[in-house]
Parts: sequence; C-alpha cells; structure tokens
Amino acid sequence: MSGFDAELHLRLLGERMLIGRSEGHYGRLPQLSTAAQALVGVKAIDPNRAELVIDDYDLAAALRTGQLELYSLRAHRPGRGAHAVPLAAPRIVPCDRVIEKGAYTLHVRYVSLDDNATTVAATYRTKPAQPQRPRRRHGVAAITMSGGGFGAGGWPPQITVGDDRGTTVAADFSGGGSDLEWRGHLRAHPPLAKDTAWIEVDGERIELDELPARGEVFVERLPDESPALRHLWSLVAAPDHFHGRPTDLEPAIEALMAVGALAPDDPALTDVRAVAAVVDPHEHPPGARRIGRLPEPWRSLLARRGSTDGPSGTVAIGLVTPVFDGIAVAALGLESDEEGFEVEVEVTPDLGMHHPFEDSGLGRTLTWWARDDRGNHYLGHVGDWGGDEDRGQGDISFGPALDPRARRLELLPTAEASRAVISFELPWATGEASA
Amino acid sequence: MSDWWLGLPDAEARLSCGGETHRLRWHAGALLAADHDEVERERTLAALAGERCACVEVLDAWARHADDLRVLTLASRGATDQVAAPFDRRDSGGAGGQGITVVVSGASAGWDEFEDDLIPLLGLGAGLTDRLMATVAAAWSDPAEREEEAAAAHAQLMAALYGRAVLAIRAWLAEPELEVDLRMVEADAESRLTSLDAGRVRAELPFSWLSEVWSRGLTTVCRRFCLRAQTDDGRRWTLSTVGPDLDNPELMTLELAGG
Repeated sequence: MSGFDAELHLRLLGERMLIGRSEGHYGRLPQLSTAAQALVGVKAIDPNRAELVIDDYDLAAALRTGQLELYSLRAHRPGRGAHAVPLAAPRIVPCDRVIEKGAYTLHVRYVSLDDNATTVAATYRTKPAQPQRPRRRHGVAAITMSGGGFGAGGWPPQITVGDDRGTTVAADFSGGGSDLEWRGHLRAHPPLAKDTAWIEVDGERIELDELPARGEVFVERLPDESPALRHLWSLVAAPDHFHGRPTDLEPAIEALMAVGALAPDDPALTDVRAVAAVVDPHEHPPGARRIGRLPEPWRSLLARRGSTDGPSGTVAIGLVTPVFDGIAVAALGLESDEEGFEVEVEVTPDLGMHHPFEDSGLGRTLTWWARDDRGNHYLGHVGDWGGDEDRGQGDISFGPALDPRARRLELLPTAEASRAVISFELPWATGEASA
Repeated sequence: MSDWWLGLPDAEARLSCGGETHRLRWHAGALLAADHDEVERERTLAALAGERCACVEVLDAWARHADDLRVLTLASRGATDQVAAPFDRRDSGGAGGQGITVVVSGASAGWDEFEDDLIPLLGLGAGLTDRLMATVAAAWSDPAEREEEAAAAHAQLMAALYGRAVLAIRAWLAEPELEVDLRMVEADAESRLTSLDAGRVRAELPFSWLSEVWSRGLTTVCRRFCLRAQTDDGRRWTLSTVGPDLDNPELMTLELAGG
C-alpha cells in the first residue's frame, strides 16, 4: 500500500467522471462512493477524508445538474461514531385476530410492546366489489393513493389502542399496499404497559396469551478472508439502494487493485464477477448449469429465485442479539407470502439505512442473509425504514420465497468481522402458523 | 505570484445591494465594490445597524475563498463543463435585509443548515467566477510560498490540473475519449506533451500552467497547445507551444497592436 495516494485516486476518479459525464445522470457520482467504500474497507484512507472527497464531487455534480436539494440531504447523515444503545427484548405476542370494520377488515398479526413504543402489526383489507388478488411488493413502499375503501386519500384511518391499565392512545399506520390491502404497523405513542394482559384495538379486546416462536441467538466470527474480497462480496449482496440494481463493482475492483489489496489474477475475482452478473433480481434467473458453477451461498439463493411456493403466515419472533461489531439487532416479526418474506427489525445504532442521498456508504453496514434447515439461503434488502441516530426500525425484505418444507430459519445480520445468528422455528411446519 | 493577473481583462457583475443595483469590479487581481467609496466604513455601519450589505458580503466571501482549492473542485473545467448555478442573488426581504440569498429551486427547508458561502460566489457570472478560479490558481502556483501546505494538498492540486488539462487536450485534438497520462511537474521543470502507445498522450505540466495559461484563455493558439506563457506587460507574450503531431515545443510570440 506504500506510495499509493488514496485521496488522489478518488479525486482523479471524480475528475474523470465530471468531465466525461453523460446528460441526465443524477446529481451525484455513485461510482466514486463505491471506490471510496472499497478504500475505506481496506483501511487505505480515513473515512472522514474519503467523505470530504465524496462531498466535494457530489456538490460539483449537483452544481452541474441543478440538483442541490439532493446534495443537501447529506446534512442528515447519521454520525459514524454512534454507538449501540441497550436494546431490551420487546414482548412479542402473536395474535391472528380479524376485526370487521364495515367496508374493511383489520387483521392484527402480532403485537410488540417495549418501553418506548407499542407496535401492532396489522393488515387492512377492503371488501372489493369484484374479488381481486392483492399482491405484496417486497422491498418497495408500494403506496397507491387512489381511493379504495379507506376514506379520504385511500390511507388507513388512525385508530385507538388501549391496555389493562386504562391507558388509551392514538395509533398511526405506516406501511405499503394497494387499493385492496395495506400491510404495515400501527404505532402508539406513548407506549402501552409492556405487561398488559390484553390490548384493545379500535374497541376490540385481544387477549395477549400466545407465546412467540421458540428460538435462540448467538454471535459468530466470520471466516478469515481478505478484506478486499469481503468488501466485494458485501457489495454484490447490497444492491444500489436507490435503483435496487446491483452495484457496479468495477470502481471498487479498480481501487482495490490500485492499492495492492487485490491481485488482478485472484481466482476469487472470477467468482465475484460471475455472481454479480446474475444476481440482479430484475433479470431472469440464470440456467441451472450456470447456477451450479457458483459458490454458496449464491448457488442456493439463485436456485430458488422466481419461486412462488412460499408459505403464507406470520411468526412473532421477539429475539435480540448481543452487541456484535458495535451493532445490536432485534428481530420482531416475520411475514411470509408466496414471493418472499419480510422481517421487522430494530437496529442500534441506526446505520443510516435511509434515503440514498443521505448516505455516503462509508459507515458500518449490515448485510442481511438468512438460511433455512434445508440448505437454502436468502438475501434481504432494507425496505421501509425510519429512526434516529440511536436506533432505527423498519422492514427487511428477503427473497426468494421461503422453502415451504423449511422447519427452522436463521436470520444472519452480517457485519464486518462477525454476524449474529437469530434462529427460530417456523410454526407452520408444526401447524401453529397464523395465516 | 506577482503580476499573475497580467493579460486578464477587467470583469464586472451587478447585484442588488441596499435596494439599488451595484457593481462589483475585478481589476488587476482584486475585487472592488465600485459603488462603495469606503468599504470598511460601510462594513462598520452595516454591522452597527444590524443590516446586510451585499457588496461587502461578496468581498468578504471572496477574501475567504481566495486560496480555497474547493473553488477549483467545484467550478468549471472548461467550455464543455458548464456549471448550472441554480441560485441567484436577490433581496432577502425584511428591513435592511439586503444580502446574498441562495435560492435553490425546489430546495428543502433545511438548506440553511449547510449553506456554503462559496456557492453564491460560483454563481456571480460575468467572468467573476473565472477570475476567482484564476485567483486561487495563482495563490498555489509558487510552491516555494506554500511548501508544506502544497504537500498536504497534493491530491487537490493534481486533480484541479488534471480535469482542466485533460479536457483542454481532448478538445484541442478533437478526441473526447483520449486517454491522457498527466504528470504534475515542478514549476521550473520542462513542460511537454508526448505520444505514448495505443494512442495515449502524456502531459507533463506544472500546477502553474493553470494560472499562466489556462486562466488566461491561452490553452490553444493557432491550433497549437500552449505549455508555457510569459509576459512582462500583458501585451507581448512568449508562448511555448506544441503542434497536434506532438513534436518538439516551439516558441511563439504574440503582441497586441495599437491601444
């Protein structure tokens, strides 16, 4: 690495992109961020210095496209020095209760109670004149504001929730859906009593006497691997947050070779490029022979891509990891349908999984893997997300569809040096699922 | 960096100041508020009255950024690299509230949080932004004056030279994709353009090329690329130039006649 000037490498890349830029691009230079992430990943440049370079060239790009408002979002970037705050295990109670409300039904799937908030996982469904098949879109806040049976604006109404202490508070809905169905969460502030025996949702009492899924949590170190290759694999697993397309690896590969962290003839580079070429979820899955040549976990991930045989159901999880690599994760609930599954999680500190223009990508990140007891692997991407510097909360959308024969699932939030294993049973395998 | 402005014509921009249209004039390397006789007095009066004086604000911002290399990172690299300044200068409203206001189309309410007083300077127009770039380039052209700083700023200096030199060479040779291997050489080293294999070009230029040649619009003369430019009076020039076949540099003399 001696003699290599990482800042110069980044600035010259920024210059090449500015003077060679094409019309109609967004007011930022994502390839520069990709190269900077790679150099930070192998500790060739201080992340604060790299961020200054990115900010300079993003502002230069914004000045050329008139999109200063996008550049300005960087002011909301979470601090890199944020630490994990204590993450107490929430009380998660499965419910599976359908409340009839005239023009629509409200399906309460599970309730999460902790000291900060009460969250009711809920699905609103209208009663259409002609039956249609609602479809959930994974990884996208699929918001359609075209009416439906929910009144003004087509948005599910605010309702009240209460507990056995006599507390009653308003709960606002956030989520995604269509004219026919909205899936998301009702969040109540201030929270209800964590140990309440029941809650009332819009006047209907629900006893909280079910138990969450049985599970366990532990942390394991990642196998030894070169930092350069580990970084490239994490890029393959994390698509461009804005477009949902695979990240262009070449600026990272070029930077890693320039710094001497990656040999041009490294055989693993062939695997990285082979996987990157077929991992785009928007493209048709590759043929079986091509998949068979890929390394795990990609082989099993891609083998089931496009499957629509996922079980429909909800799992109340309620498991919290210890701090690993300065991060802690709480898995609250899982919802599966034929195309994939979503896991509601809480993460501390919030890792900036927000608007892509807010994030230089230089901070700590998590890659969301999962695997089942049948050897299948799944990859998750951040969907709806919100939070503050201390903690963030949102949905991780996994694909492909869960193998219906799987009896156990492990969520694997993976950081730089270690990962957590959140392991739990899938109740539909034992006939306990809530549909 | 004495007389670095020789050959650069005066430039003037107008802006709203105190409800009137005032002139900012750049002359011989300095920016002046042409409609304020005593700037220090105006500054003091404005401060005492809690008012803003747009002309003084621009002068102050100019002084703060006169050696700021971010100017060269953000501003144009050449004719084909246009900065679309999405802001203007207008009255900020309120009693005595005449100042520079950054107006961003569609801006979020939080713009003030990261307002950067360099951005309005880049939108002054009327040649003043070019003069600001020339000022910054001149401030860093003599390595003896800033030895330690220049070492720390090597990446910014090299990048500023690279973007402008490469764009100029590509335009000169009409090869927009031309690969240029740029070497930043010492100020007193020989400047050269040479052919490499596979159609690549190597350029060996000092950082002072920006101040000496590029800022003065002398990049190409008579279809020849200018490597060095020297003048004692801004009227008679001796240029070291190279032709499109990248042969040995030859001297060329330019002289303004009349006047």
